[in-house]
This record gives sequence, structure tokens and C-alpha cells, in this order.
Amino acid sequence: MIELRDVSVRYGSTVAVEGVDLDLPTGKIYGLLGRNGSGKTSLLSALASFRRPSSGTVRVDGQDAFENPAVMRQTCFIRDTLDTNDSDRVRRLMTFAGWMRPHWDADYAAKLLDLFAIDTRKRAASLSRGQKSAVGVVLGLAARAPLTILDETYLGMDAVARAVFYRELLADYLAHPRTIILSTHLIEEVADLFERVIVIDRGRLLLHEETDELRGRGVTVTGPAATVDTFVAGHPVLGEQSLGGMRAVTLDWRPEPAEVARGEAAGLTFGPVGVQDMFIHLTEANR
Amino acid sequence: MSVTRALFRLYRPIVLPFAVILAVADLIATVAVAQFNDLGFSMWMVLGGQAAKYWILTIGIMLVVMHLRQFVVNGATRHEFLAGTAVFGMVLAVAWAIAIPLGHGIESALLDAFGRRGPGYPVPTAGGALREFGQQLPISLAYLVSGATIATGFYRWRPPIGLVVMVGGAVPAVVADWQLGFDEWGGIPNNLPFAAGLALSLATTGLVAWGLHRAVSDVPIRRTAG
Repeated sequence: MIELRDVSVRYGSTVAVEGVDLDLPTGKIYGLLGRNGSGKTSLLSALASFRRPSSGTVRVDGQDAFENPAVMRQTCFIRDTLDTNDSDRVRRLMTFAGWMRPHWDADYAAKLLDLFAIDTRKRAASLSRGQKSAVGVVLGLAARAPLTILDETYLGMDAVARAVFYRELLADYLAHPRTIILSTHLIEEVADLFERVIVIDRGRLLLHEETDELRGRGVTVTGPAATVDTFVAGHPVLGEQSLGGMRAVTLDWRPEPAEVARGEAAGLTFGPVGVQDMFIHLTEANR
Repeated sequence: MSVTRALFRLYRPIVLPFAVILAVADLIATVAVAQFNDLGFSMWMVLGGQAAKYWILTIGIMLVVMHLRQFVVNGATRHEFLAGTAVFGMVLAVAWAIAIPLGHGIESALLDAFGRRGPGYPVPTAGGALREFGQQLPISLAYLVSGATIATGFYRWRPPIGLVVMVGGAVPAVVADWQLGFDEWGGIPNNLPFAAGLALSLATTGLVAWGLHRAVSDVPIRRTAG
């Protein structure tokens, strides 16, 4: 279990994270969502002991995490900027990770580098933005750390590389279950991977739920505009789209089966709400 | 793998070539000067004793700027890093402190063999070798700590504070030079007796090393140095 108790991170007078309490059972994939500047990276930095929280505690399996060798050796935090020296060659980065990481899988790292078409003789400085992200993904996945944190590691990656990343992440997670926290802005692209979703906004925890529960919170109602308007009246609207006489409205409200039946009889159709829609609604409503 | 072992692996391709380059440079410079005059001073004291300390200072800087982040992001704690660098630095300092009298002895023997040792040349003695070791070891430690502290000032704090830390961080190197520094005859142009100078240098280095430990023990791991 990963426990955060009243964790705050401040930079001078700026409060990046304030009073976050979280219990994260291990062995799951978490999606950490938040708008720009919401405190995601600061929270993850505190979780990974890259930064001591200004107040509060982070505990992993009952032990304080900060400067704890047993915890830090089992934690891998990959940031959006590759944490390397520009002069280091990719090959050296992999070798060094192999020296330090107790569960490092060199063969798997080589396979991933091949999949991402990374030339291991290249220096970090000469890698493109997407290639740097790919190297970060390799370092994160091949470390097989029991707590793996990937903070916007997709930056600059093309669609093919991102698809490879998601596929490998899931496959490796299934083969080697561990706790993975993914921070991302490409919510719809990876939402299917999340078992739980954490949303923070302005440094505060807004939501921590099972992904299915989150999806089940709302519904998308589609049909003739007038019928839809009548049906959704009085309920919180997450978003709406119109095309001709048709309208699709997403609600933060779960209708009872009888109401669904009544709507369907009136020509409406009901669909699930995307995690992204729910995220947009929650963070907008908080402002 | 321990931090110390990893550091030795990282620095092996740097340390060994540097030692070879220094030895070759000493040989070339000595031969060049000896073409015209008998050598009245120790070239090795100039290169190995007076110049190489700046290389040790650079290693101190590199340890913080390049390797602190690298080790922590790969799962080492800051304390493990500091302990590992302390062992690495001590081994490096002792090795160089041995290399100074050893190189002096070899240089002297070669000059003597070729009849180019001038009357002013500082002929090595057992007591002199021990004193050279006793000079170089605290100098190496001081320069290593100074380099690491100066780099930490800029890594941890904003540049104005880094500048202040830089002044404090330079104190071990300045004190070691002032009290124990070599001249080209291996002498100590100091004001205090050797034992007092040694004690002052070690105390200053120890004090700044303690401050360095405090500054690094909870330093945030930044994306880039500075």
C-alpha cells in the first residue's frame, strides 16, 4: 500500500500540492490526471523521493519513503525530460540502469530499443524529443520497479511509437504485475489502461475512483435535439454536440433503468461517458 | 551495484588516461628543459602537485552536477551517493598522494641516471616522501570537497546564493594551498608548523564537508543543474 498523508509541496510562496491524502493499493495501473500546473509532477516527485514534501508523509508498504534505500531502489520515476547527461550515449544509460536497478531486464530493454528504432550509439543530446521519450519508456519499463511512475513520457512520440508504448506497457504489466502510475494529458488514448483514476486540480485531490465507477457516473444521451433537451433538463451537463437536428449531451448523472427505458421509447440512445469528458467537467467545475 | 563501485567504473576511463597523460607530459617537459639545463626543480611537483589539484576540483564538481541526479533517478538515496562518493574520493586522494612521492622518486632517479639532475633539484628522501604524502592527501581532499560544495551551491539554490556558497566552498582549497601547497621544490611556503597547518586544513575541509552533507541530504533532484 502506498499512503500519502496530508502531503503538501511548496516552492517559496507557491503552493503546488496541498494536503493530499491518498491510499493506493499496489499492483494496479493508475492514471494521474490534472490540468497544466495542477501539481501532478510535484506530487509524483514527492512520491518518488525526488523532493521531500514540505509537510506530510509518504509511506510505501508501511515505511517512510524519503531517503529509504529499500523504497527508493524499488521506485522508478521517469520524468518528461530525460534525466540524463547530454553527453551520455543511450548504450551507457542502459548499462548504468543495469548496474543500479535490481530487477533490470537487459534483453527486454534491447527489444524495446529495437521496437522504438533507437540507435544506442547516439548521445542523449542528439536524440529527438520523441526518441528521448522512448528512451525514458525503455528505462521505465525495463527497470521492472515495483513502483513505476511515468510522467508524460509520451511527449513528442508519434502515434506509432505511442501505440507501441501502450501495448508494451500493458503486456509487461500483465507478465510482471506491479504498481504503475501514468501521468498524462492524452486521456482518451490511455484511459483503457487505467484501473483507477486520480484527478488533482490546483494542488488538491479532486477524485480517486475505479475507472469503471468513474465511467458509470455519467451517460451520453443522443437523439433529436428537442427530445434530448427535455430529457436532460435539470441535470449537470458535461458537454454537448449538435449536428443537424440531432444532439448528443453528456451528463454527470446516471439515469435509473426506468428513465432509460422511457428515453429509449422516445427515440434516445444512451452511451458511456469518456474519462476525458468527466475530467474536463470536474476540473472546469472546480474553477 | 554499490555507488562506490559504479563510480569507479564510470571514472576508470577518465582517471587512468589522465594519469598517463600527466606522466607523459612530465616526461616531455622534463626532456625538453633538460636539453638546455640540468633540472634544478621537480617538474613532477609542478604538474602533479600544483596542477593536478584543479583536476580533482573538477571531479568534485562533476560528481554533483553530473552524477548526483543520475544515481538518485536510478534508485540510490542521497545518503548512499554521499557515502559512495566519500569512499571514492578518499581512494582517489590517497592514490594521488602516493603518486606524488612515487613520481618524484622516479623522476629523480631518471634524471640522476642521465646525469641531468641539477644542484637545486629536491632530492627525494624517506622523510620528504612522507611529507609530500602528508601535503597532497589533505590538498586532494580539500579540492574535492571544494568542487562538490561549489557545484551544490548552484544545484540547490539560485545563482545569488550559489555565489555565496561558492565563496565558502572555496575555503578548504584556499586553506590547503596556503598551508600545505607545493612549490616546484616540494617545499611548503606556509606560516604555521606542518602539524598545525595540516590540522587547520583537515578541520576546514571537514567542516565544509559536513555542510555539504547537510545541503545534499535532502536536495530536490532537479531536471538540470543550476
